[in-house]
Amino acid sequence: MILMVGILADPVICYFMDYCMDSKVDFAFVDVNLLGQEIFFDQTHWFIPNSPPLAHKSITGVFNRVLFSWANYHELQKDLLIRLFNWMDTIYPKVLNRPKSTYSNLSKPLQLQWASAFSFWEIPDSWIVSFNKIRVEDPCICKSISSSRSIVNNVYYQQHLKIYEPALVQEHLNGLNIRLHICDQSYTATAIESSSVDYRYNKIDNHYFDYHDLPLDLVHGAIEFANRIGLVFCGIDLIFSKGRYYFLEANPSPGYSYFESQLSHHQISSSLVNYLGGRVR
Amino acid sequence: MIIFISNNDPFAYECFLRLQQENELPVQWFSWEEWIKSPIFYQMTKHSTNLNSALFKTKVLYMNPLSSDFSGLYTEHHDHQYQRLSWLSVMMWLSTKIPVVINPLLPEILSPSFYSKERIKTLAFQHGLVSSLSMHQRTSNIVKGTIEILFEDAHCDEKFSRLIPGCRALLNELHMIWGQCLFNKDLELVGVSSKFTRTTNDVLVKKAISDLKRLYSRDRIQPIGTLKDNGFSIQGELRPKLEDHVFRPKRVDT
Repeated sequence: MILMVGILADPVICYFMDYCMDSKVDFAFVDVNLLGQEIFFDQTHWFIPNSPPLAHKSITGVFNRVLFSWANYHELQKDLLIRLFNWMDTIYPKVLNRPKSTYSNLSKPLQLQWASAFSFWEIPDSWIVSFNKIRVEDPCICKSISSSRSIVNNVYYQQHLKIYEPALVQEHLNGLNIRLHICDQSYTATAIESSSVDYRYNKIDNHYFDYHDLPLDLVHGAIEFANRIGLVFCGIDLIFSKGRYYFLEANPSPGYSYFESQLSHHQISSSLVNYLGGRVR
Repeated sequence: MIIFISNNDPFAYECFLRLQQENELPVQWFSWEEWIKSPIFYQMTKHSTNLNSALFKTKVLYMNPLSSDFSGLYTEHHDHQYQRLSWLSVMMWLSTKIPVVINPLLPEILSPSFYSKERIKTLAFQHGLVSSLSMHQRTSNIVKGTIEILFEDAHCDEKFSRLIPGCRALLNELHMIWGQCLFNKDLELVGVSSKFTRTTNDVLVKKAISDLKRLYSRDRIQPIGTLKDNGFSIQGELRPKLEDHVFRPKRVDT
């Protein structure tokens, strides 16, 4: 039995639930908004409305999509969530991904530093800047230095920039965007042709297709990299530019459904089910 | 440079003041309010790094970026979460760039379970610092004694000394190289702190300063002169015996 943990407003978890229903794979869903109100758990079981108690030992894997702040939750809810994190971090045998492994993405410089140890990809020239006025001579982009998303559609060139809170300034790379999804030893590479610098915010003329040209040593190295930073499932953003592959970042909770829904197969969903030990009814 | 970043931290401030008075080492104190106005400019490429910035001549950094002093800075701003994460990102990265960080901000520390009461209680039980896993069996939460761990050293009253190995193991699991364990009258653990909140004990301050100086000036390996004579770095009995043919030049067919 796969346990999915998240909220119903998350399109990724809904997509994965739909896939499991279509494929007749058993799963249970914990809506964390209902934790401490309608949904509870103790040391042996989950208690979910309209379902018999679900034993922890019957759970083969957990799909974790708890990505949001719970500052407004009441005390019981917070307490249960922290205990749930403890279960996902230390007790359940297979979790995509364990919460403790997802925080490397909070620091893009840290990830870039780790990625720079691998020779099969390049890292873009990058500058960590705070409280500085800088002059940008060559085309550069400026983005959030943390896991907070920022829209990266401006390219700065021969101009001054004022940077207050820490930000990441990076050389602008023109090229083909590639999203490499890795789940354990499986991988799926998707290319995105786009007229925008930040393809995520261009829904009009993006073109998605399976990308089969990634060198195998890069793929194997990327799997090793993901393994070293503790991410069994991740979405690595690459750009193919100037004849080289550049590493941008590894997303620990990738919105893979967005990519898979543009393609004609369900390789990523299938690899998630396989890893999590999902069984067809 | 030794940099301290903290607020409301009498022990660390005392260390800073004495280091400053001794005037032997460059040392700086920042409150978090001052630190988040610091200019940083650092170039990162695959093959080279720009270490010109004074920040990267720092050898020891003392900080507690998960403390309420740091988190409290952002509560007034509408985008406080974004700013807080931006600085956490920098502090996580600095934890890997500066040789000694007290205490390093590692990614897994940010998981809400990492410092949770449940996890600490479980670890404390595993290391013999509490007698029960139950959260409600403690007789008192009033702190009657502390054990301070500074790097390899530990300080406490004699009656707590048998608990030092457990404390050290607990703090290792919490990735603290500098930390304080708090105990009640029954010698049961009631709390853990990365700040030394309950002491400015003179002996401990002197020890901390001596450790900070040692860490500052320590170059783990230093060249002290070139050699003129011949010899082997690793003695013959320590070297593996290789077959002669390994060294025989390959025959070249012409």
